[in-house]
Parts: sequence; C-alpha cells; structure tokens
Amino acid sequence: MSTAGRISIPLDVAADILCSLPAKSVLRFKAVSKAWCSLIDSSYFARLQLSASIETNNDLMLVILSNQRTGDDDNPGYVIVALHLGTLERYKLPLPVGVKYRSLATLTILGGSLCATFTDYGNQVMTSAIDVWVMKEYGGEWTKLLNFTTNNRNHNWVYPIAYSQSREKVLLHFDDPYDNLRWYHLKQEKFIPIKIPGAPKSFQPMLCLPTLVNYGS
Amino acid sequence: MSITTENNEKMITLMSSDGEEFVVEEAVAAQSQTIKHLIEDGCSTEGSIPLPNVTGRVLSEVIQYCKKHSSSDDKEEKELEAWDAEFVKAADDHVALTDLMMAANFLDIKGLLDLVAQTLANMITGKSPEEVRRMWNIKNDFTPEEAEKVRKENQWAFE
Repeated sequence: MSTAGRISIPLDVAADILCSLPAKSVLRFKAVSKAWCSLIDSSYFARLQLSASIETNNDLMLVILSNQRTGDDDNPGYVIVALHLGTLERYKLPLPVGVKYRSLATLTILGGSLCATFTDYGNQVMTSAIDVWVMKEYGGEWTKLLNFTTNNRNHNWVYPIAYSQSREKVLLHFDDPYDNLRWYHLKQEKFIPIKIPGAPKSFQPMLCLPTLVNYGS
Repeated sequence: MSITTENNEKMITLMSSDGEEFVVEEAVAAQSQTIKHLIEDGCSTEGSIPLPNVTGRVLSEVIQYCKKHSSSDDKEEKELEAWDAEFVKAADDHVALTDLMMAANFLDIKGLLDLVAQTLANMITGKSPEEVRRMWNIKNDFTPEEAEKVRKENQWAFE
C-alpha cells in the first residue's frame, strides 16, 4: 500500500494495543522509544494492562520451582520455570545469587511479587540460615528482602505471607507448633511473636482480601 | 437533517473529513458513544454530523462494522465472530488497521477498538523493537548507552 511506512501512532492508541500483549512482548517494546518506555512504566498502563488481563484471563503465568537434587554448591540444582498458560511457552527465570545446593526452597507470592525463601541448614546441627528474596518486576532481578539465622530446630521451613500496612514488617509462617506466626521487623531485624488464643498447633494460613469488586462480572 | 425511513427508523447523516456523506440509521450510528452523545446534545438536528478525524474510506468500514453489529443478536455470536475475523483480514495491513483503530478510538466504539487492538497486538507480538519502529515511523531516541540499559534490565524479554 502506498501509504505504508508513512503512518504514525498516537500514544493512547499504542497503549490500547500494548495492553493486549503478553508481558514478555510488552517489556521488549520498552526499547522502541523513550515515550513507549515511560508509557509502559507508568501506573496508567499498569492499570490498563491489569484490567485487560483480568477481562480476558489470557496472560496467566504458572511459576514452578523444581528441585533437581543433583547439584553442588556452585550449581544448586534449582530451576525456576514460568509457564504461560495461554501459549504454553516456557521461560527459565534466574535464581537469586548465591543459592546453595543444601538449601530448602519455597516459592510464594509476597505483596504481588514472586518471592523465594531458602533455608540453608549448612553444616551446623542446631542452626539454619534463612534468606528471603523478592522479584519486584516479573522477569527482573532478585532482591534480598531479609535474612536471619535461627538456632531453633523446632521448625523445618518458613515462608513469608504478607507485608504489614507500612511495609515495615513481614508476616512469616513457621512450621513450629509453638510459634507458628511471627512478624519480622525489617529495620530493627527482630521478631515479634503473634499469639492467637485457641489456634490449633498446626495450620495452613492463607491471605484473603475482602473486596467489593467482583472479577467475574 | 433527520429523515425517517418506511419502517420509522430515524436516519442521520455523517460527514467524513474529506466531505463524503453517509446516511445511516440512528441505531447504527449510536454504537459510537461519541456520535450517541452528539445526537443527545442535539447536534444532528441541523444538517450532518461532521467527523473531522475520519476519512470517507475509513468511515465506510466503520459503518459496515456498526451495521453488522446492530443487526445481529446474541444467538448469532459464532457467526459474528467469523464475520469480525473476515472484517479485520480485509483491512489487509497494519496501516489500514491503525487508521481503523484511530477512528474507533475517536468514535469510541469499544467492540471495534478491542477487535482491532487484538489484531494489531497479534501482528507485533513476536516482532523486534526495530520492526515495530519501522511499522509506525517511531524514532529511536535512545542513546546507545540508554538502549543497552533498557535491554539489560529486561534481558529475558529479548531472548
């Protein structure tokens, strides 16, 4: 067509097209121009993309952490794979830096971000080191959120559930029957136990957000 | 100017940017929220409604879409989907689709906007940033260092 190559596209029209794309293509197109880069990074676009994804349900990712216990310290043997449920495409996500083979790993969602918790038993009998990492932007880099050493072997694993409102604290779930839930204060680096009178010794906590928005409607 | 047809449908006249006039049923034109509001505000009573952003060629396509979608009811959903697929296929290339999308955006026709947006999205999903720039004449205004930074931060998306 003779007009080909002579057409331009307004940013709001581009936004309507970009929000129908899978996240991977969208991130790639940040390299198109500065205007596209700021558009894609904007909270306006994030809202547009989220409502389009919810409407069509076509950009769901299943993230799997698999533990192939064949590694050594340099090669921990963990693999994190994201599977796009629409296209069944698979992407390998990086591991946080310095993960050891002997660690136990758990993958959760914390504050909307992918979160990996590693419990390293080390060579010590009575202590273990726990590292919690978050991936703020999907496909981006891991950031270490917190780490602590525990000398209490009452528990085998721990994982974070939620941030406090101010994001100063993180709620952690331990498999310790006497001390199931604890806040961890990120700045003060200390624990604040939570006692729930009458709670069972062992339970599976889940978060729920009461909302007036019905995603199905 | 409002004319009434034999079956009492109110007709209105739309005028494209290049002066072409289209006489359509009000119910067809009102699928555009923009036109609907103009009618409600009484802009259609004297003469035709001018649409300065839409050429006659594009407007005839838009009207074709609105006619089809105002005459179909729910039980024909499958047929309508097939019609939509043919409709965007006939638009042929990204230039015609972009024109159509800008018209749908200005006229505020959600169904058409979503349809064309998805078609264009499918068209570019596997393309490189450079290919996308060429499609829409977008200038690469990154310095080599900035380009490298964006690429590094989103490395996995480029693989």
